[in-house]
Amino acid sequence: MATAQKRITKEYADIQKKPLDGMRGGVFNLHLSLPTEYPFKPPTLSFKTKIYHPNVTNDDKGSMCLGMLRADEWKPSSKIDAVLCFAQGLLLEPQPDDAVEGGIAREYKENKKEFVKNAKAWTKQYAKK
Amino acid sequence: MMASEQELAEMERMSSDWRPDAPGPLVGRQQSTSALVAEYAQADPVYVNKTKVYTQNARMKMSKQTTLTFIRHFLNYILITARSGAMATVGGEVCSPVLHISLCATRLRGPQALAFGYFETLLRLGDASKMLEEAARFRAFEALMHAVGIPDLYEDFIGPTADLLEQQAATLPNHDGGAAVLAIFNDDASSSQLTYSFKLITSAWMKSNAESYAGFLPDMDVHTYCARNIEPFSIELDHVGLQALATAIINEAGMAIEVLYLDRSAGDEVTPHRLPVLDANGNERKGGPTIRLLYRPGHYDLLYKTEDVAEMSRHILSNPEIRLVSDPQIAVSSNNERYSQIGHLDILADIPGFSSSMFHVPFTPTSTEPYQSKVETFSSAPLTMTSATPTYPAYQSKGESTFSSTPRTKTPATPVYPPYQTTKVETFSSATRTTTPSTPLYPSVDPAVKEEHSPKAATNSPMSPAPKELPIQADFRPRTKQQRKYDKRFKGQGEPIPSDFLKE
Repeated sequence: MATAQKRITKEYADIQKKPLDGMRGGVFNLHLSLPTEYPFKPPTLSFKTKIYHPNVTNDDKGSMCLGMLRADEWKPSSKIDAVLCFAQGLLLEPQPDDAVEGGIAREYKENKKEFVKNAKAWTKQYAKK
Repeated sequence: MMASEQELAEMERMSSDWRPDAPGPLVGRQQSTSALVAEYAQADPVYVNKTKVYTQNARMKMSKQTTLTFIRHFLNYILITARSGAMATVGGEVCSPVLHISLCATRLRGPQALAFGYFETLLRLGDASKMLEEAARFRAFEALMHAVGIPDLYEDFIGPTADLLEQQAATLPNHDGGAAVLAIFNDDASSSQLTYSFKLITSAWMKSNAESYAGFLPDMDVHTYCARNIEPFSIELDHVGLQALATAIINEAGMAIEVLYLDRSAGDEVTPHRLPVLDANGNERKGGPTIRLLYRPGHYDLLYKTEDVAEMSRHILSNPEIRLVSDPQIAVSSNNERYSQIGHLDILADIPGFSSSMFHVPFTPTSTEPYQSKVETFSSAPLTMTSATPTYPAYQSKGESTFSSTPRTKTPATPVYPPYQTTKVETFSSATRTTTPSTPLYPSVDPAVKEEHSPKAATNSPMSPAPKELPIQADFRPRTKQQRKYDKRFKGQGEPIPSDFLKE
């Protein structure tokens, strides 16, 4: 526990120095949950704000689990700011091949225009400032 | 048949919540290797023959009839993870969900077993200054971490390992036979930290010696390799990683590693692979301690020679304040109970070395095995630690079924059965009485006297501590080419050169 606490305190101070921005006009609330085994188990990250995205579940959980957040890829040396940057990067560039929302992924790949339209509509509806 | 969205979600929930019952401590007790034979009695003939080789006449046919009589299991549960996508429809067409199920060892057998073996060997050598030397070497890795661009991880992961080494060096005169270290390795958080410190050093070492490893990695550069194969917590080390860990930490401490592969390769003998300690000319430096790993697919255990165990117990015997006694009654009953809970684990049948039938074989403690009488000949203390303990295979109670909805049970911080009960025993067995003097033998008495009190243990052991007259530095070896380069690098960067490197 001591390890976890020390780490979290240190990293929290780091995050505050680098606020996230550039969410294309929307404000998306994220929920970051750190397990007691942190940093040896990955944190879980979920969107509290509904988002139209192939990698985020379209339900009340808004969970995402891919890349560095997966149990078998998680590095204890990764930091929370890297996790947040990863989420931010995912907003800019979805990974449709590793999707949890098959429909949105297909639309993203095959009909980008429609995807952008839908994403904008959702952002306007759910993620207004 | 297509699962409904609800069923799928339920399945996902169950699989992510699923955690096998903790089948015991992370690091088990030493037991007789005859356990292996019992474990594999129902398995593939290849394994049956190979495991028999360990114990028939307590000899291994591999090299010079090395006697390996003890084994220490490392908890090796398997986690089934699933990532699934909800069902989705696009234009009336149903997309199949993405569902991945993977088998994944949640603990790092290799590095953990090696880290434990490393600490245990240092304790066995019983040389406090050697331990402090090692602590200094770990501290020196801070500079290496900076050099390869992963600063500020030292404090979280490597510093505590150096602290433990120093702490153990300080308590060495009151040696508890490794009980404290065992307890620390059985604590989930500490165990993770210690294990990860070994991995992180391995990664830093590989990055700083990229050219030495590049040739072994045809598909990627060293940085990519480390990011994918070393640094993720739950990835087991492959051969290249193991080699690097050996070079960076274990061999450097003067310890050789021998990995015995219990796999499906042809023949009745177990294939050993040695990672030796090399001198400056690249020749093997013999006579030092060896950490022996038993590799089974996805699993590492530690193996011991009788002498190694005797050496350890000699320290214990020499300290009457701490006596390691396990209660055989408790151990037997709790294990029988555990066996009765074992259900079908068909999924494991896919893993080489496992067959589902193995899980239904009730284990009978084999009190007539030859190893028993063998152990009795050297001292009674190891007997109380090992003999009456029924052997339980590391994988025995992974849960009742592969997809049971058993709630996630966290591994208890305290082992289910304390590996050692540090109870002070009032009535010694007759054998103990003869070997235990009324005053503490250790460390006030010189090695010669100690040997007199447990002659078998001492004379057999090639690993007894260096005689007193030898200076500590006698163990210090010339710098290897790589190390000299390392030294030069830090000098060039104006980094303080760790005191460890100045002893030359």
